[in-house]
Amino acid sequence: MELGETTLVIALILSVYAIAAHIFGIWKKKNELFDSARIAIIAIAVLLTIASIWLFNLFITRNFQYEYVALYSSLDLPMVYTISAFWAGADGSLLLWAWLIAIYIAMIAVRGKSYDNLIKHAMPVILVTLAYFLYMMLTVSRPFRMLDFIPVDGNGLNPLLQDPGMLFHPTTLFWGYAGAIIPFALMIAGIYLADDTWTYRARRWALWAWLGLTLGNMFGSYWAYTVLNWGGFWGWDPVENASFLPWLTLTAFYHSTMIQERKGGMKFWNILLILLTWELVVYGTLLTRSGIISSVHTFGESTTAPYYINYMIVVLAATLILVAWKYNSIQSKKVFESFVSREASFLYNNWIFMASTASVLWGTTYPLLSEAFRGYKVMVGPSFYNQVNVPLGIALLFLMGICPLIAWRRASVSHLQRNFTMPLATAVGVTAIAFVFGIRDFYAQIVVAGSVLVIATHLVDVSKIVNRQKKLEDRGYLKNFSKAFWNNRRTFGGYLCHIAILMIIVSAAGAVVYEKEGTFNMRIGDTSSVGSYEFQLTRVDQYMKSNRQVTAALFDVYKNGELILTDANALMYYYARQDNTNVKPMAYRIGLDDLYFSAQAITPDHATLKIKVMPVMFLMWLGGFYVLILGILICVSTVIPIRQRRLSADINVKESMKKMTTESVHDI
Amino acid sequence: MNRKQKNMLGIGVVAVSIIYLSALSFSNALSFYYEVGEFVELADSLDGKVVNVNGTILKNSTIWEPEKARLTFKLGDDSATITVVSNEGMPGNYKEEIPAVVTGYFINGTFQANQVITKCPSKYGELDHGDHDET
Repeated sequence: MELGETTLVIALILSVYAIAAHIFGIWKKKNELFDSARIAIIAIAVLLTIASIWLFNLFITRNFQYEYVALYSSLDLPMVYTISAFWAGADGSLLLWAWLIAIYIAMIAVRGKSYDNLIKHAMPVILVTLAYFLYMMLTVSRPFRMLDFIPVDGNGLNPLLQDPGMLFHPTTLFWGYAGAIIPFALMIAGIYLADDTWTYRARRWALWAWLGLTLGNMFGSYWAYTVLNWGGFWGWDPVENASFLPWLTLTAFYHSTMIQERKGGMKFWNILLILLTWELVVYGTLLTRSGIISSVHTFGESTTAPYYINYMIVVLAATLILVAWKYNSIQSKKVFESFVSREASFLYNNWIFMASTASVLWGTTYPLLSEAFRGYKVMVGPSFYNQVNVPLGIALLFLMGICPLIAWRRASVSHLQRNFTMPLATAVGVTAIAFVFGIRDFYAQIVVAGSVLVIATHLVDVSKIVNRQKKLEDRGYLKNFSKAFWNNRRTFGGYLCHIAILMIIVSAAGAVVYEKEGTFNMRIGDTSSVGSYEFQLTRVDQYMKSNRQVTAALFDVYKNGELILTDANALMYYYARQDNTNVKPMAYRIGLDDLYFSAQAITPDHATLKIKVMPVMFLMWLGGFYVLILGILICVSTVIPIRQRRLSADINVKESMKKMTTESVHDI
Repeated sequence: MNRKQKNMLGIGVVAVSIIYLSALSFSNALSFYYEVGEFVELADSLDGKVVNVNGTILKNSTIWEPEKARLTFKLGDDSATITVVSNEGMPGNYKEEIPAVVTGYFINGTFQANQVITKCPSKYGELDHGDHDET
């Protein structure tokens, strides 16, 4: 038998064994069974690692007898893309997904001490899913299927996937997809055992999955901007939406779980969010693999759609039955005393995320429903998503500005005045100044006001935290800050994530409202202008680069008569293997602006192209990659038992308070 | 009406408004999607409306005029053929004999496309057997 499939078969057998061992272990209360199941889980991870390395090897050695290798690579494909071809198709992506799940559960299995009752009940849920994926890889989605002939060459990789972004976009997305199953399994176990600590345990994995999904979406967005020639960073493409949907619900969960942790509320809501997240992850996979929606991402027709649909139905039915069975143990405490409170702001936050989820899900799914039930096909244009989600984004922006300073339980008028007068005054003042300096568009004004409010309230709250630390132990500003930061990493990390989201909103608003563009048909020597920039076509070059012929129109760029950029490229690639031509959009940052070149046609003496000037686009990548990752990593650092730390911090606070009181008494 | 009821009423009014506005923008964002044969039957009644048409780019039908960034090709299925003109340059992954979806309107006997999206079909059938014997 072939090596890859052999490892998959053994992994499948071990998965079934581990499921049985868990069930009997729980039933008979035999710890030895769990110990052997843990060894089986580690073995599954080793086997899937071997299978994955084997598939990499097949690509690197260009073994075209394997159908998957022949379909997604070719002799002329550069090595880096030959490696990334691993996840270019449905079968390899499924292997990547299963591999990551196996690694995650092996990490849990290795740490025997944390293999408690909750994990013991959660693990069969993950193992059943993993076994199902393995079964699919052995039947309908076979990465190791061999042809009965050896093709001379493979088909090659879709040119649009021959981009460094493809190394990171699918891998980070599947890192998130794989991570999302663990909160789901913990939730199922938590409901079954009536153990509310599942949210606390799930939060860490949810954060890990959220990091993967965030990066996946950001890489996807960057890929759309620099490769797909959409002229933008987000096109509301159905499969783009599919990866965005679980991000929305997981973000909502990460906020609402704080209410369950602190107040014991929103229990049922959290269950719903995690169920939705996992269902949407599978739904996203269904969209990308089944070919039921036309998109740049879809991998063509396949037979796997019924498998994903059946799985989703079973997951939904099983969860609902379990919830109905254990309904009495999921009763939340009443936590909302007022519509103006911190708790309520979390609730509104969740409503916004759910409204956005509902709109994106509806727009993405409606064409399928229309075809299935009404007999005709339709497409939903981006205007729908924009018209619904822009107001929601603005509401979220202001909520982000209110949330840090609003009181728990009930915010009185005097509390609101005390906390919000300065931030609101600053927001109004800066907005007025922005108006004077020419930012007069309605949406731009709203975004300026919201952004200043967010920054002001976050700074006020940070200063309050530092001041509290100062009262406990004044060791100078820098040390007070670093101590406050260390003791409040979750808050600081969360605030950095807010600032990152703010940067994305500002850049999206700036790019959309103040974008300038022109389409030009230019001969060499001609000059055209967009905004305050002038573009002169200086020459056209043609050369070979790797497996493609490059045609480049080169421009000198002037601003106010001064040369600021030479040899800016508008590019077209011709791939002989696939016999097709692709436009490669190019973006250059000059100050706050991105100059975006998108060729339409290039001949030896002329070029037709679209040039855009998009302000503050760099904020999107700076916020979405660096600031957001930093914020999440700070949050992730609290994975080290935060409760104990908080408890010890509380004790420290109490002790310090006691000390202060004693000192005060002593002073008196 | 007590304070809580007033708040609930306010939230309800906001929710209904959002749903109404969403429904309105949704109906405006919808565009129909036809196969070439279906489209040809309906073309006259569509009266210049923007629609999406799915078909296959026919062999030897492409006229590429780079000076004008104009692409002309025939899109067909088993029952009909239309001529498509796009002034948006060369679409990504364009080649003949592959499926494509064109978005635009019908005018003077041609389909004026604002957007041409090519699909990437499975190419398994095209794998070259070469000189190797079956194994």
